[in-house]
Amino acid sequence: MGGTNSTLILIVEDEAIVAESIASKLRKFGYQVAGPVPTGEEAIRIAGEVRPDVILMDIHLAGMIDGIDAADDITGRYHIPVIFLTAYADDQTLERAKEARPFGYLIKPFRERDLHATIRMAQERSRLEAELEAANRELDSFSYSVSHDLRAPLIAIDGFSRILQESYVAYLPPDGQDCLRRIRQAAVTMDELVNDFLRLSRVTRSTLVLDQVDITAMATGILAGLAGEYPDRAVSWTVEEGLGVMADRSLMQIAMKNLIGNAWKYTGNREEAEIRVGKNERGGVTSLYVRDNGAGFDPEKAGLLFVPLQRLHSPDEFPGNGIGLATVQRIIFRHGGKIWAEGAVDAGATFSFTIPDPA
Amino acid sequence: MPRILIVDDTDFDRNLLKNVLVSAGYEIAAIAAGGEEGVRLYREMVPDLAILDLIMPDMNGIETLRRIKADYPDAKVILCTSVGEDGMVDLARRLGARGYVVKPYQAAHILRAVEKIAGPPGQSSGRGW
Repeated sequence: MGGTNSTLILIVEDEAIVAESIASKLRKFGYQVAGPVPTGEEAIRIAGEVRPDVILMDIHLAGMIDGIDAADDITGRYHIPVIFLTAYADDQTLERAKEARPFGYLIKPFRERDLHATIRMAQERSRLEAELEAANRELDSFSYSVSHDLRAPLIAIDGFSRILQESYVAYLPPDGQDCLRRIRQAAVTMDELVNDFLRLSRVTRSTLVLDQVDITAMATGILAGLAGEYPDRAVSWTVEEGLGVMADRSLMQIAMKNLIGNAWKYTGNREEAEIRVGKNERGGVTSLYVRDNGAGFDPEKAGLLFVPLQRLHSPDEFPGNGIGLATVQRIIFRHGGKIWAEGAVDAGATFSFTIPDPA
Repeated sequence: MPRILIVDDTDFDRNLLKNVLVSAGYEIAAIAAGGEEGVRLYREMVPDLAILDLIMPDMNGIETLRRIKADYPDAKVILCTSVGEDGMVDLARRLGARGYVVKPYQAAHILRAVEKIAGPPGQSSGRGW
């Protein structure tokens, strides 16, 4: 059958006969077997010692903790995929098992072939996850250090050009003064860009602190702030009552500020600008939205909206650097939600997102 | 005893500076995690020396130096830069910084710069000389 296979599998099962039967099936497929061990405590210890490639975990075990707790502990410490093997498939157990982020769930009795296939899939998924995690970490630290390292030369440009302006501007002809003004303006633009990048990378790195967030109050506050900041703009805005999500408050503040700020910005050319923050229920799923009647966008290019640095409008038309929506998307993704945009050129835009309730 | 203000946005560097200075016998007047807080604490404490990190998210070290110097032209300030930020040393000097330390920090370098500017620990250097 399987031939030789260097995959080491730890069996956690408190019934000796069942454990031995699983072990012999695995050996037939050519797997190396560690254990069997009868308790979650031992599973945690052995997982640390031998670092198996895959763990087959019974849920109901002899010791103080059950298989789900043991799997949760192991997943938190090592990158080892756990597959639950159990006779139980009631919803409550499934729900708890889900929390331990298992790579599979096999209901006993199972066929040998299913066991083999599940192990193979778990291994592959685990490998891909590890790769993705490493790539993400690298990308984060890259963007952080780029943002950080870009600031030093920027401070120098800003600092020296400021000295030039404050102490030597009288020596420059008008054209030279204009050049100097442009240098200083470019430094400011770049500083904002770098700051936004830093913020984006911080959004990815920060730990989520979940809390009941009153989106109605948050959106109202942001809109009132904008109205105060731009007294010459006539924007009629409404915020639906009772909007709320379980989410990280400071990240939601960043997300809502970006979405509402965009609605404010892209209605800049409207005589009668309208912004609405509300909610939709579709198929039992609640989504929140920010809608405006502003410049909108070409729906064919909607996919580009959330890509960092991609802009669908020129900076002369509407200022911006294309990092805001990328940041919003990252915040929504970090909460396990979805975000999408609907709109048409010159016909406004609606940004909708979901934030699932934490299970 | 020279009293020193530390302004740095990273926990690690703040603690390192504090430990080096305290174990050498200096007194810490205050510790700030950003430029704005640094300017505020400078006004409050008027320390004998301020040590400023260059790269900070809210207000960078150069701007912090500029603000402190605007209110206290005699303020003694050391700026901390990383390797490769040489242009900054000249900029800091033009804006009135008395010294600089290159990161990553080395205790001997920090103490040499501090002693040169604020005097040895255990001896009051007086203010605004």
